[in-house]
Amino acid sequence: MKISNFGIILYPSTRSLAYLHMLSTNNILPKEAIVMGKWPFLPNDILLEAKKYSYAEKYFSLNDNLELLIKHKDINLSLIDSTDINSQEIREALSKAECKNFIFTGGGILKKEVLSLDIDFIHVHPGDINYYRGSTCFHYSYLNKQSVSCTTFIMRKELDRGEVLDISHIDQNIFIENDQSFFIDYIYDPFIRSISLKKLFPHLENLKKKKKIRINEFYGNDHYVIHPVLRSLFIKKINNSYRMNDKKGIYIIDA
Amino acid sequence: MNAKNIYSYPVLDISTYLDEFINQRKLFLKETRHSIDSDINNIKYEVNKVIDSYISLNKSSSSIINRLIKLINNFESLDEHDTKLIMYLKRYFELHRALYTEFDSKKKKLDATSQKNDINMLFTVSYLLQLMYTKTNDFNYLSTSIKINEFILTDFTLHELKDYPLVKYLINHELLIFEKL
Repeated sequence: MKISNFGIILYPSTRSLAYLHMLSTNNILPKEAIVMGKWPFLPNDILLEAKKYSYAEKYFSLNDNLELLIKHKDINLSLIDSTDINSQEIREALSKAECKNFIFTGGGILKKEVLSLDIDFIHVHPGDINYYRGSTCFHYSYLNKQSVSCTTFIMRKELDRGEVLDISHIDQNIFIENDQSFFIDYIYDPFIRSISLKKLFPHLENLKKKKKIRINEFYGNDHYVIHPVLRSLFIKKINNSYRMNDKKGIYIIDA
Repeated sequence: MNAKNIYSYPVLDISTYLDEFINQRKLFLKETRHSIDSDINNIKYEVNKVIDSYISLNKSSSSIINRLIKLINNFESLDEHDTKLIMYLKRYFELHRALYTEFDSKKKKLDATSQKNDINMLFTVSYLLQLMYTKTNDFNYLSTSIKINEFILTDFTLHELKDYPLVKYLINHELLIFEKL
């Protein structure tokens, strides 16, 4: 396992678990990790669903005991009670950090005080930033155009804007059963972000060298949290597109 | 389904949610004795008839509703400013769960001292968003319209809505949109 010169801020969420899994299966781990809130954090009903549908085998491990990081003595681990990314505790931990690149996993919208630290925060947004803003935007993009994308970028002062590092296009061939209530928010969403983030792994130590994608005009509209009936429709459409005889899974496709 | 629900990340019963939603809308139309035989053109015709009479009764009103009604009447020829106004009202509802009847043209924003959540205002914005959806197939418009409709059905009693044909057409129109999805 290679300990690389970047950091990660771990919000107690399956997004953090998906990122950690993707890093470790690619034999990379961060030099510094700031762990927010209380771990383990996953409620039993998610774990039961994960076990029933083999999420760990198909997508990522839901092991939330931090063992992966604790067992590596070279990783500098900071445990912070707060789950607010803008809290003073986090700011202090970040200002003491050696790494200049940190992967962001949630915990609110970064405020000016944090963004003004000499650190690049890497965020994966579940949509093509040219068109879609908002946390549930992959539902909209799939309903509108049968497409799902993720944008990896360095966060700047405005929400979902910044220096774009990569835009990944994603396809899936999956069938979501009626009792997979947690799948979309707790598995699908973090998983698509994690496979997009993977493309950035060769550049994590030195983002400056990574060629940025020029966004001439940011014309994506705000997409507020989608109404549940349209979430339900999104799942129905994903299921309708399921091809039983083809390879199953969620994967990146070439643009 | 309660409009006061926070919409973020609900755990859905995937198998029943969509059908339950449609059945609840149908139940509303049944309880308000509205025939669901209308097609989209028929609804357009009926809506225009009702809003024309509204305009003639409220000619001198400074309310933004009059302007929005004109947009409904001339929907095919919306310009950039009209679309921006609709987007502004959409955003306003998403952020505040409220709409006001007066627009301060100097400050270019809704006047929060004017009437809040007037039924005609809620109807006109939601119907315009439905029309925007049918024109563009962009679910961004439809999602907010559904939220406004849910707000109307929760905030007003069945008794209040029974004698208000526009809301019945609005829900009927929504059902017709869902039939095509």
